[in-house]
Amino acid sequence: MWNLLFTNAAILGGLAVLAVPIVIHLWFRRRKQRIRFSSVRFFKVADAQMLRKRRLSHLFLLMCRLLLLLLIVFAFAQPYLPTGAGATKEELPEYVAFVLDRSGSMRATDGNAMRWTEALGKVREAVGELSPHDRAILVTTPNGADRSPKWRSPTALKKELAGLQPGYGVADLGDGIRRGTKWLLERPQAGGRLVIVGDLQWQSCRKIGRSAVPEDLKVEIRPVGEDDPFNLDVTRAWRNESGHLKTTITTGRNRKGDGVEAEVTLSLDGERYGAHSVADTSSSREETFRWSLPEFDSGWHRAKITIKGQDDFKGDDDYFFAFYQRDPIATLCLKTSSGNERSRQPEFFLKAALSPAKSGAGSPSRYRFRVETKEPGAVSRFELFQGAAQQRVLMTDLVIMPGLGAVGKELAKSLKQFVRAGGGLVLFVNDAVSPVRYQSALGELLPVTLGRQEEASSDSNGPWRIESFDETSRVFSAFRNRENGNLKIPTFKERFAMVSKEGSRVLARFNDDVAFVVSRAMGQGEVVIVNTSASTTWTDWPRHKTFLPWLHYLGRAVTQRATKERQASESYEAGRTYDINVRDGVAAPRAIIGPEGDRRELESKTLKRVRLRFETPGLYRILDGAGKVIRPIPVNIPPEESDLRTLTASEVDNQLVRSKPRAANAGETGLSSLSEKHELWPYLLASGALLLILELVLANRTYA
Amino acid sequence: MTDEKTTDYPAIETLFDVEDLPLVARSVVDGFLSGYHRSPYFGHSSEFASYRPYMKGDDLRRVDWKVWARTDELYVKQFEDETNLYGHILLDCSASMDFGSPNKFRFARTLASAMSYLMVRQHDAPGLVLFGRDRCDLLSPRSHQTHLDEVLKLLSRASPDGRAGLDSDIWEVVETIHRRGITVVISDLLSDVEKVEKLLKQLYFQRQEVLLFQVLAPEERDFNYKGEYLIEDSETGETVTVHADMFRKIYQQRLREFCERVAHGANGLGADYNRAYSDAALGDALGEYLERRSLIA
Repeated sequence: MWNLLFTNAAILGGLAVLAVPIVIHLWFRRRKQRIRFSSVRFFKVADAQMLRKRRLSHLFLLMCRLLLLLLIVFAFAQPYLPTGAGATKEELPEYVAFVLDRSGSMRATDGNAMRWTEALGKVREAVGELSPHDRAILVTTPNGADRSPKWRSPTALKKELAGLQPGYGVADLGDGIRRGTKWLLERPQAGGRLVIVGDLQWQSCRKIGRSAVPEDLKVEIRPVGEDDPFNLDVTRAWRNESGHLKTTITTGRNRKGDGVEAEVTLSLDGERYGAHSVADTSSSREETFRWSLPEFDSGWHRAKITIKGQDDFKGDDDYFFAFYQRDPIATLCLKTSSGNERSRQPEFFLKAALSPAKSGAGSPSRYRFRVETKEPGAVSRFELFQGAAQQRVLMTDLVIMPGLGAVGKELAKSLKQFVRAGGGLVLFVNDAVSPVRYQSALGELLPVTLGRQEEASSDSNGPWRIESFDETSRVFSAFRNRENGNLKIPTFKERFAMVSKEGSRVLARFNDDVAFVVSRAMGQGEVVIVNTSASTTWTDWPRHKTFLPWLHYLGRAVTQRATKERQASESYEAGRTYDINVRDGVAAPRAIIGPEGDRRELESKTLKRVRLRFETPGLYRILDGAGKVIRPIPVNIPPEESDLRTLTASEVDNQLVRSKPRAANAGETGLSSLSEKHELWPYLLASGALLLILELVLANRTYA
Repeated sequence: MTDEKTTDYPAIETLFDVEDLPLVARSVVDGFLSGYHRSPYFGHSSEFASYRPYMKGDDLRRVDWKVWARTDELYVKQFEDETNLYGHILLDCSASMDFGSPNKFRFARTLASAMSYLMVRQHDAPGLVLFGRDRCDLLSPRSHQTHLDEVLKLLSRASPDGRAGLDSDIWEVVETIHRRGITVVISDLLSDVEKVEKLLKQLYFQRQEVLLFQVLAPEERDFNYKGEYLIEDSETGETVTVHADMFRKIYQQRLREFCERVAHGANGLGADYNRAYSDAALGDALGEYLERRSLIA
């Protein structure tokens, strides 16, 4: 027998309204008027059959209306049948929400089996304990596939489990518990059970206390995995300003690491480059390795760091990394007429400092210089930039002009246009410089007004030294850390008296407060004047080790590469979605190749910005329309998942916040939640609507 | 006839409410005649009565050309007509006539009065038979003015309370009509068709030109009631439950079939069948009479 229950049984009192149509029916039945007519000869055969038919119609109409009212009253009373054949009031179905951790750490194999296999077994075991009419729902964290889970029978839930695999994302058990509680609270009856199955990794439990679980909900915690796992992982890798690759590995975290041998290897562009052995895996510690990289061609390069050692989690042993080697800064150094002695030739020092590697081997630095020297008279406008005034393309990034005896008008004009278009100009001075001619020729290009040439006398205040510099300036940023070099050591014998012009910025001063380095922005470019020679004629600075990094930073700062350069080394995390900008100057992205070689066409064919979600770690490659790799995308398992330290079930239980039983909060569920129930009222209302239509038809066809 | 003949009529309901039946009859007939273009006076007596101006429709043979020659105006000579036609008016006084709004019997009685008055004006001799009750009231035809008064007096006293209808002793009365003439039957004829045909046959054998007026009320025509009714027969008291809305179409069909059968029977016996509704003008009925009389003349 059906055990019909009502949510609002009090509304059944409304069945009294059934008397209304009966009374109306009887009332109108009595009203029969008597009239006198000339003759009834035409009515005598007025068939009784017709009257009988009409009475039947009236009766049917009355039944229709009574049934309609009955259905409406029943619908408002919200009847429902307990699910499951033969269910009684005492055997109401139990609702169970399983919160299953399917994060990357569930791939760990501490013990003999993978944590995921053990977790599935525990869920299946719990599902097996349910009765056939119970209902269960599976909430996974991170929630990839189960954005809108459904209540299922135990059998259906087992089928759902069969096709489930762990992901690589970061678990948030707090979010899983919140969603599981929400589903349970939407059930019409109080009670329910929340079963948490996972490795209880401490990172995934940090937000457990943020959502409250009503006290009437039972919470069961079924942990998987060992309490004392051991893991070795490459935590991060990055390329420093000098172009070296640095790698941090995390070892140990517990005593199981004692005596474990481990080795870290680096592969560059698919080829093994080097290896380091890990000295100490005995305790929880981080160790950073530095890899000196070779010179790279311009473009994207990929690196893979692998740690080999006996640990419980192999998923994080590989770390993928990609970096971009930019084009060298095109530098044009103008020749001076300083004689044949190399030590007196500024261009010798400049070229040696900017491109220091011997025999053209180049530099591994992220910022390289390609230096070319030319006679001032041989420099044409087309060597500096191309195009009309509004659309100039720089052919040269940086022009260094040591002290020149004469600056031609054409050269000065070209330099002005070059700087306004975004080029960088560095001016040095020396004996050949005539302040009058310089100011006449360069005019607004000069950040300072040049005075007379000064010579330091040893008996007075000479030789001069650099007393102060602007630490916020990119030119001197290398020397913010005092350990990187002392700028006060170099001495300066000669200089010019200089007064900075309005709008100029003094970046460094001598010890007598005379300007040493002054910069000035002009158009989109910048001009810097250095109040000394680029050779050893006025100063011994080129012989000091601080000269080279200073000159490199000066070159990068004045060409604005430091700010224009995009993030050139990247790493992404599995289980997350990113908006990725593809570098300018390349074709539009068309497809992406996954780590396993699986190809996926991209929707964005014109924009250089693509939205991508990475499910598995590895090296992805974005292709253009011609199939050329635009850029590699290194994806790694999130570092949180590498930390396998776990909490105990009781520690998790202590973190849970319990709220009042749901009976007190029943009103909060509201009518909206009832729509999820297996209620009968929708069928009643639908039948009522059909009956209403039938009643309308009958009423129109029946005489009153 | 044209529509103009009805223009001077008083309202029907007003006429029916006036108790002075002679006045009603005179006003009806005078009103009717004033719009009747063709002169109804065409008696054959040689005794000159008077002149009157020529009216459109007058017979040109009756124009006095000598007067025209002298006065250059057209005059028609009028003669003192002699009674040359006997007319019988048979009025149904059964209870079924006492129905409707306007009342069928009042309509019928007014029609009979007007008909009598017109007959006398025509120098015909009207007779009156009131049937439908157990015993018929009879006034033999006479053409005097005093006779008209008696006819109208009898009509004034008549009431629709009979239960007999065509089952009354009308047959005995009809058999007494020997002279050829015109008989006007005014009744709702709500009886068996066979009985109506039998009456018409009898009149036919009595050499009567029969003018049959079936008087019906608007309610009988339209049956515009709503809902369920317990309908009582005015003559027999019998009751029937009827739902007006459901039964209207069937009723109207049955009434139409009955009237068609009566008309068919009447026409077969040379009678002139007319259906008159109590909310219609009386002039139509009077016009029918004059048309019929002209045929006899």
